[in-house]
Amino acid sequence: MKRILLLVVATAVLGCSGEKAPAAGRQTPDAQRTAAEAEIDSLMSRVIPAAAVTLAVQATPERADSILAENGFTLDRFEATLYTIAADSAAAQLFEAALGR
Amino acid sequence: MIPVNRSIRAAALAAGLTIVFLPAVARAQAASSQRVLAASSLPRLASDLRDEGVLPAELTMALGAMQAAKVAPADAARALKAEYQARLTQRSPDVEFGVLVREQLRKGVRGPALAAAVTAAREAKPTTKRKIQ
Repeated sequence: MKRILLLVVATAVLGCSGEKAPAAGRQTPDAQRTAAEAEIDSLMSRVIPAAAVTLAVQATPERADSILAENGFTLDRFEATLYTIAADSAAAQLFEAALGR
Repeated sequence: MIPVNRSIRAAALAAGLTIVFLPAVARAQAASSQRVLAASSLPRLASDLRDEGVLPAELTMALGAMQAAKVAPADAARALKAEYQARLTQRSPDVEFGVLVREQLRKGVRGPALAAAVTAAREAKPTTKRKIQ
């Protein structure tokens, strides 16, 4: 359910973001939709695990290392991911939406 | 001499190790959670700066430079906050934040000094004009 909600948010965020507009020149509607879906998937695959880690660490900070490991992160890798998310306005908005901010 | 039961000795050893190592483990976990939460603050701070008029390209440059220079996210967050504060108080959005951060990093400024350097540089040249091509 949460994933569907986030997909809707991601679609809205990408729709509002001028930076991520695809080159729609000669693409068919199907191709455009596929490209947009791929972009959303890529965005979600970065943002959702990072948001999940943040929420879990906020709830149980004493389990930070295990939470990172359970979500496939090292601390350095998590920090690098967050730098990347912050640098991308659509990803940053999606991350904030996932955290409920 | 009273003979000490082996299980009592093991329990005492375990208790001793717990007393010695538990605070260290707790400290390590606290450090990890602080790093996670500091990194997690970067997207919001970046969004705030975009809302305040910093160009996305400038932010990308600043964040990229800080990541490449292995600036800890907590220090990066301080630098973003310093820029946000400077923009709120000085109302001089013409300063190029990305260039500013890159200059400071090139000078070797790291740690909490980076935020102070951002503030100082913004105070030193509050009317730098940006040419948008």
